[in-house]
Amino acid sequence: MRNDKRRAAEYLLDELGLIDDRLIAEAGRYRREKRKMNVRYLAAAACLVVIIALIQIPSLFKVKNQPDFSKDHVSEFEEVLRGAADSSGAVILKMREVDLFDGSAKLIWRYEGEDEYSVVTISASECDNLQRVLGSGSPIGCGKVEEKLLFWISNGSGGVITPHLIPSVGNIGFGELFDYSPELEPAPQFTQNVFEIVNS
Amino acid sequence: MEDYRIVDLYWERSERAVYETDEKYGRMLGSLSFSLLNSREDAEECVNDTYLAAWQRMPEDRPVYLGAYLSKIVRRLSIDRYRARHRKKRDGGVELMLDELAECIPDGWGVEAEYENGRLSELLNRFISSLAEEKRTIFVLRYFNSMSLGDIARRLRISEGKVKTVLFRARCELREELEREGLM
Repeated sequence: MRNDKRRAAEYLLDELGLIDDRLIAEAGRYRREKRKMNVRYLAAAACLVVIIALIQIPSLFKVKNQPDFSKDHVSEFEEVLRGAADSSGAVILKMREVDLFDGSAKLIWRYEGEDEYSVVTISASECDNLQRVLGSGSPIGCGKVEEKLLFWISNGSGGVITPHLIPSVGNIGFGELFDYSPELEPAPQFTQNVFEIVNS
Repeated sequence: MEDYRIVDLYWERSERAVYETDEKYGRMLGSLSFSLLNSREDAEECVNDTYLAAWQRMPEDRPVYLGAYLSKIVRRLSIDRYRARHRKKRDGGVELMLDELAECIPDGWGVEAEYENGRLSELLNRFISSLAEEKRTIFVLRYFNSMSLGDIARRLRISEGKVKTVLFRARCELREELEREGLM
């Protein structure tokens, strides 16, 4: 880059640091909205749903398997993580010992109310793969709030992903790890991938 | 805690002001600084210096958007530290951004005069405000927050390719705007 262009680019970089606070705040808050469907298409889709429902009326009265919201229910995902902890595959750390910036991707979890974190180091490719397969999952009941499992994926460069699916730039040691979302049952593919990682 | 309440703590000279600031904005400021400096120790120092600067500037200052106010301070400190430590060796996020921003510079641009009389700042605010919301967000996240293309893509749930394309077009539009304004 020529010196004059570099100098000009430096001025531009400096001036971009002085833009209106409102623009900065708005960018920080922005979240991409789901596309708004055309009303006509929405109405057509609603009609289709009604038609299909009417055709399938007899099957609507069948009793479906409900998720087990009992206090003793342990999700498959929790079983995978408990297996990692029991087999000494996980390191137990205090919050301040958890390093999100050491270049090593990690799986991190703890139970609400506890102050120790279980940490498993994973490879960068495993981290990327988990992000790709992190599906929408499905909400689980609130019957076991006191045993709520909190789970994060750290990419080793300050990025922290929670199962509410929005990656964040995360905490670098100045306070708590990123806030958790409402309870979510991870998608089966994600659970399978975590199982393979912690048992490898 | 709401921003105005944290600002009140600064005005009351309460030490809780820094604690509450750290609780709410510590991770954001640290990440912004780290993305420029690529060093945790340097980023931590810049964030601590930011808290000190905020303490010294308030009262007098009463920012409405505290996060943006602090971001500007930590960004300035981080870029200055980067320049001080990398006078000869050029690497890292700042260099990439400078390379990209150089594309916006029209040939023969007399930048110093426009920089000094404040026209450039006014033009940038006007230009950024004129962008569509998503494009504006991508532009600010890249060139103010210094986020990588990948992080922007993940945050907005779009492809990295789209981020690249949006930024390229925005830089072209900025260059046209600079030429149109006669800042040459």
